[in-house]
Amino acid sequence: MKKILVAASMFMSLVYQVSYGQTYMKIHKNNGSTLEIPVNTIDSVTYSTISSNLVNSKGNISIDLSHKFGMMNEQTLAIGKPVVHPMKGDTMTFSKFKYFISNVKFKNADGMYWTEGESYHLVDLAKPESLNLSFKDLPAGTYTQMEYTMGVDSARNVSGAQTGALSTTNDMYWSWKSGYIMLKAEGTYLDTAKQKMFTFHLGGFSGVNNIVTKRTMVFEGATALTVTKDQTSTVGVEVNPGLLWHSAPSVKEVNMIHMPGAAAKLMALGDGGLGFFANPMYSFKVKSVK
Amino acid sequence: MRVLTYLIILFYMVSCKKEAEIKPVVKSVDTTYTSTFSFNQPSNFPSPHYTFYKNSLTQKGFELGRYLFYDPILSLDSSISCSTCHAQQHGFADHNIPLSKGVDKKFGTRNAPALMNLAWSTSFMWDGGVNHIEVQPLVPLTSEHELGETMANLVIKLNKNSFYKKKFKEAFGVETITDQKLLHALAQFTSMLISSNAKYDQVIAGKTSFTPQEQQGYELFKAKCANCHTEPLFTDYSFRNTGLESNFKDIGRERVTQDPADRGKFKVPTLRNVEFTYPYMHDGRLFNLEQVLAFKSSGIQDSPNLDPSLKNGLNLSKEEQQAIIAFLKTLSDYTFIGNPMYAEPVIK
Repeated sequence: MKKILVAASMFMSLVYQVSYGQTYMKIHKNNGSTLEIPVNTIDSVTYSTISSNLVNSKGNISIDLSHKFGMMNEQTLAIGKPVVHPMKGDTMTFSKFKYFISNVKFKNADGMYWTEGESYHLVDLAKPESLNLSFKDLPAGTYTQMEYTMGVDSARNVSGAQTGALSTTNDMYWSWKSGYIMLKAEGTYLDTAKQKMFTFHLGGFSGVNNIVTKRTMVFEGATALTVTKDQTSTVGVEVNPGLLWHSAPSVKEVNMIHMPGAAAKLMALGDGGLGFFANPMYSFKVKSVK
Repeated sequence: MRVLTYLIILFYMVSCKKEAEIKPVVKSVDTTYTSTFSFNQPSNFPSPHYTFYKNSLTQKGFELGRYLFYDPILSLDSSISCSTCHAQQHGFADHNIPLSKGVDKKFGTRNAPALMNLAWSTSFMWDGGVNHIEVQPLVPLTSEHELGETMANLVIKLNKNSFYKKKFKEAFGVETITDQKLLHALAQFTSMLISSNAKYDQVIAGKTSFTPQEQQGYELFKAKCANCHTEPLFTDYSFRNTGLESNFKDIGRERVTQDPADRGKFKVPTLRNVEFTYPYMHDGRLFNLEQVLAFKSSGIQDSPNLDPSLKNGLNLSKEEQQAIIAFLKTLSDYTFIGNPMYAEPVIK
């Protein structure tokens, strides 16, 4: 028994830590993902269900992002396709649209968290494969929400050279003022019959310029999310980058941002948290679960 | 309850054993090198700021960084390397020119800084815009006025190069070269550029003594200069307006912070090997130490955020200036500028 425990500890470490006001049992998986199970609120029956599902019953989640524009998401946003901003009236054509989603975790109906390891996703409208965020081997069960971060957490902005989605080859890094460009929107807009260029590079990970935003996507009612053994559950999400201009001025007034600051913050967070990174209702809308 | 928990853990453990084996940490191939190769912490220095976190220092990694530092493959047209503007005999500053030329044959706007004791540095560049030694090379590598490359293209070029494919595999155990490993290798080389064996260090260690003039200079230095050029690294890594101008063309740190209070502030440079690194100041406008001391003594120009310690100049007599210069020359480290470990590698 003791020998097996020692062997077991090589494959996972077990710690108790207090977070969210509860005590969690935290299990680190070798693929980098983590499970957090609330110790106080779950009885032994639930434990055995979870443990059984951990091992025998695992499925996948795919978050499929489709990008929209307009008050009711009625316009499809795609590279090279003109869209009209519903509030500002600007006609804009995007040549580039990229942003980071990071630190994804799913919460199940029992209060357990599944956390993705090395969780950094660069969504790039020009790369269809980047529009499906794929999460593998979650214990089967009902999941009530996804917690995630818009942008790149401050730790990775101050920890030197990174790789994967955070590689500097992705052209989402400011060399002269260390830090990630968390959103890049480039293209042209119509200004009195003339096409002009817009360039928005938004970032900022500390102090008053911080735009990194934690948020939650809820799965309930018609979009309840169940993970089934060996199946992939697909969540259709409509993303509306038009919210960048909810509080920010028309692109005719401001057509360039290239560093962290108040202007970048206004686009990302908006007045009263209604900007693209922060808007709780409309910037990321769950439309379907299959 | 506890027993049940253990059982669950065991169940989980045993079952996931087959799906994901723990990958062995890849070590450098030649262990005889790595066992003797380590960071040389000078006894009179504080602990370094850079800890090689997730970038374990090895001989192979250091040597790879050294190859890269001297290789023009890192520039757009293979015309210049890091070493073009950071020459060992000049304390890894440029060859005594105020401003440096990049691949576009145009001059930059700031003096190429001397490279040494970078593992202790809390920020990089004259304005401190870079927050980590590993990401510092991104500036010179990608600036159009310096090496003019893109990181994506550099990774493609290096992966096509059989020499580097081999070297990166030896150093990091990787089949594919990434920008991260390129930056890690460069950081292993640059963080090992340690200068701690000047006459000053010998005096501090009690192995020799200053001449009377050097001693006079040292006393003056401690009274007038050491507040910013703090021993033993001879900088406090702060940013200060030293009164070069009253109306700065180059706004300095304000560019990074967007704070007008930072206008005209630049990082306090180390004074180690200062004899070799002329010309001086952020734009290389002062050509010798005599000019610098004369300026600090009576050439300071006032402005709202001029550093308080320089408000009325240092008011040093000619003799005092000469004494300080004599002391500054005790910071010359010939074992550093002559260290074969840092020299251009001869054979590829």
